[in-house]
Amino acid sequence: MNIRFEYEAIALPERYRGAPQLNLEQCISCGLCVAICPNKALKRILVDQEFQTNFPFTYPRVNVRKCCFCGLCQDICPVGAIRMTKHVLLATKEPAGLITGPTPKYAD
Amino acid sequence: MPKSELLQISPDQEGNNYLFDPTHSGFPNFGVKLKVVNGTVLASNPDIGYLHKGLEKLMEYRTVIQNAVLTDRICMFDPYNWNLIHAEAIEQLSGIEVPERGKYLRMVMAELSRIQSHILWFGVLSLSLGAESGFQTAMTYRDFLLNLFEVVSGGRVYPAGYICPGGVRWDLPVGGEAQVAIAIDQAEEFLQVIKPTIEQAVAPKTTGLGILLKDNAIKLGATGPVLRASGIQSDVRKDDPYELYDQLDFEIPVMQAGDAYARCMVRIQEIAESAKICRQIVDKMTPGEVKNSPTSLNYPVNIPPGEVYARCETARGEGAIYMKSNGGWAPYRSKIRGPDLQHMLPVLGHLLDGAKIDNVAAIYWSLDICPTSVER
Repeated sequence: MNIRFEYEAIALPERYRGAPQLNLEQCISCGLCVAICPNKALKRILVDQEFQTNFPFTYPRVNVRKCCFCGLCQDICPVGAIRMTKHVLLATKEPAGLITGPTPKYAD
Repeated sequence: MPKSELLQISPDQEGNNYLFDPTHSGFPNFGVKLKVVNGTVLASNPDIGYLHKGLEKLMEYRTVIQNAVLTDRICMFDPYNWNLIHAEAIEQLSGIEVPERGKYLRMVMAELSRIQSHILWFGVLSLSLGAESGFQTAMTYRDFLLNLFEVVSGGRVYPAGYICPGGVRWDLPVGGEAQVAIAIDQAEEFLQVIKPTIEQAVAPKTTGLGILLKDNAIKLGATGPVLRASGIQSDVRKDDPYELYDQLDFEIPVMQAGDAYARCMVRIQEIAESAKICRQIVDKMTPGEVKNSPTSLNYPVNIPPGEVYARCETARGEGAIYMKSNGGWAPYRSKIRGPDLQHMLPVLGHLLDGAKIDNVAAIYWSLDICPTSVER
């Protein structure tokens, strides 16, 4: 199966596991995803100070560089806050960009 | 001259030292040091290289479900069978029962993984024999199976612990049985497509090479297709049935010659037998649960104290895990016994003695060694 890269989309099946992403608004800060991660790709940290009134606890930060895309965090999350996205093109010139969150959506 | 002296690289001795390593087109990611005189190999010394991953140690501080993900990495060509061995070990220690549909799904994926591994092996064998069309055909047909793996488990090569203790992580998607049936048809079509390659490229270049006699095969610890090609009917699926293999009707291909061609043909026949097994399972499968206790095993659970030796038939031979638990949430020790260490060190060394240097790649690939499984 060949595609014209960047001009055609890659057909991904429903269960495909790309980079994990945290939805901070849903997160209950239980820490189960951090405990189950085999590669310690998730770490609990505080959010930026300006958002700490709304999000006072520690929340997982996703380091995609350490991730093995097993999807255990998605399976164990009781509220569905962390999900494996269909984000597949992860090559980047800025590796720091692969360490994401926790940031609320309205921060942008 | 003693063999140990030959292995030392010294300019005074007669003969030349060669290193067959990844720079050679027919070799994978490890090397073999050869002592060659007039094109004949006098002695060989396999060199594993830098493949050590420390998987056995890593397993000692990971929970059950984390280890299930880790066992993919033991052998990347055949991850489902290694998942299955780990799951068997934990289930025997903990006494977990697996639902019937879960067992059937495990067997289907394990057999499809075996087919996929043999197809890939055939491709690389043809490439090393100079028949590139065989390689391209094999990669095309392997891709059909990888597409199915991606639909079922979400990963093309690594299933991320699809076969986990207690069952499987996910049921087949909607219409999954039909897709499995299509994949089996494609595997059988592959057997028809490669017939000319076998007749014109594989058979003339492998017949009579690297003969492994019956006694030597037992003495050197060969298992799987290598042992069966030497005339010994030995298969864990028949000898010590796990899952529901005892309820299925299938044959164990055995060849008497013991040469490289016999080892190739045993694997080619195994593809047909595995396809037969898959077809029977798809007919027998009924809807139901696929996993016992869907979530509880995800949390760190204590493994009951005890020792277990769980073994399964992987694509390359008998794979096993010896696991000892002291009652903690991680196994105290898990020793992985793959078939490839025996095939690489004693068997390959035995077969290369006296072989022509032209035939080294063919003899090596007839054994189908997975270097990553040699050094865990």
